[in-house]
Amino acid sequence: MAADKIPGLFELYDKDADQADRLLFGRVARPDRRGFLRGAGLTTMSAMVGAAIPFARHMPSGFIPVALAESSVIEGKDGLTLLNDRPLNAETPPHLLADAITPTNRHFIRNNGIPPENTSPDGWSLTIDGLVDKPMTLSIDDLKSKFDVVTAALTIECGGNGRSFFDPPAKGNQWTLGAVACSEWTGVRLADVLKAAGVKDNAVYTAHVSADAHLSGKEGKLAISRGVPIAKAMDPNNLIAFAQNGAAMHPMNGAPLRLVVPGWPGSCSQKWLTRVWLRDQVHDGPKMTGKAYRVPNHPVEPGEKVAKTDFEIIHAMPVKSLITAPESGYASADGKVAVAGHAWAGDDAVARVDLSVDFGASWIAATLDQPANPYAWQNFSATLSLPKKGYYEVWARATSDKGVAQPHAIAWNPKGYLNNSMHRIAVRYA
Amino acid sequence: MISCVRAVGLACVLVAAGLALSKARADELTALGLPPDQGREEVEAYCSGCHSLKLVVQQGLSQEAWDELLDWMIEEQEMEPMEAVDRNLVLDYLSKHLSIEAVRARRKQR
Repeated sequence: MAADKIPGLFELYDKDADQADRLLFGRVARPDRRGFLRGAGLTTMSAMVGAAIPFARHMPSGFIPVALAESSVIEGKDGLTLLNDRPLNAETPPHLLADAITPTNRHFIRNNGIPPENTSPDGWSLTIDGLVDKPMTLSIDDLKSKFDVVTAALTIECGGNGRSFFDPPAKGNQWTLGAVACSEWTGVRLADVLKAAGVKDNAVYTAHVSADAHLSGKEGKLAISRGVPIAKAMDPNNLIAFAQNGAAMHPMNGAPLRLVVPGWPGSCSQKWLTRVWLRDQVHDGPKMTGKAYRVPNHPVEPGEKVAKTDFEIIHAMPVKSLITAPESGYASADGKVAVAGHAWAGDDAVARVDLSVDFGASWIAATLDQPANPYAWQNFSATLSLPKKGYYEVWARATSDKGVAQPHAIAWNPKGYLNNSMHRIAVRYA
Repeated sequence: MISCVRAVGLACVLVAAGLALSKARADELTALGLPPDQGREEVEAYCSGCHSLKLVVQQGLSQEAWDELLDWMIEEQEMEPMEAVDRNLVLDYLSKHLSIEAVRARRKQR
């Protein structure tokens, strides 16, 4: 083989993982699919990750250590990774999401269109109409004076968070881990406003309309208009919010007025909100139809073609967790690792978070806080002890109060939604 | 705001007039992940009318999926239909340089 034709590590693994194991590391798969690393191979892999691998015997065959697979400037935001500048989409690296309440400058941005130029609260109005007894048009001052004003920490996660790990790749912004946040939002309850307008018996769905423009610039064309079933809309935890973390909302997070419908895909939380109308059918606005924010109604093979009629609208987001400390790549001098992060579970609460340092062979329960309020993410922490010097991965697995845990692998779907597979970080005891 | 339709139209005129990309712009496109090849100018002209090329270079799709994506943009997202010769250039470029294999290779470098 010519020198310039030597295939790379990942190329070999793509072709035939078992053969690559034998070629590169002398690793032979055992019947239980755990890898068997022999002397020279183990030395090679250890050299590549920069340390011995004490739990190498637990590594699955064909498994590539995450250490080998890893490696903007927006006004009012700090440290976000820019995915796209038109429309603007930016996510936050996990270690910058360590705060229990996400500061405004660390909250991700997911735009579908061109935001309005004028985001002043003066003169902004919200119309409630459609299947209501009394259609209303309200200023932000009207909302503040006529309804209870409440503040809550609410988790918002983009439906496509984690899409970049899909293989075959899925279309769209290639979010990694950081399209999730839990800021404190202040506003009035959506349910209170809808009750004041009087929800008619035949209303089944909301339709949300906003002031951002379609990317084409076409007059009157909406970039996105999603909605939720009336039962979800009447949940008292949804807000029509006008403040973020006790101050003005960031313009890219929807100032001056937005919905916060926590626990469901972020797209249900329409930014720059101007109208909520109630309909007697499932809303069919842009990004409600086709395959947008929909997943197959049955498990599918990665890459499989799925009939359009087999797609269903995503409701609650799945149970998930994020390790925010230490940052992946951390080196411990004494074998202790202080691990912290957050966990959330759509409409449910998180019952437990477990951590592993041996590729999932054994698990240690983390200390898990109660949520600050319903739909706030829950903080977890633990101090882990690594038994000897070497390369480790910390894996986090949250389990909901319904007993549903995060999976190891991605439940692949054509549009790349709902990736709640476990977050892994690389740690060395050097 | 310049509308997408106008921006694309203008870009088409420039391409049709044989005005090649400036060296600086060509280097920017290469750095962004769009290497020099036949069809690159058409990709820039058509795709950057409505959205950033950063959205394009994030993708890794089969030729069939790129074709469907172009149809979707024309049918539902107000993109102007393309002349067949341009569409083929765009489709060939995207399928070659932003294929599933290409994005897999790029992911492994990060």
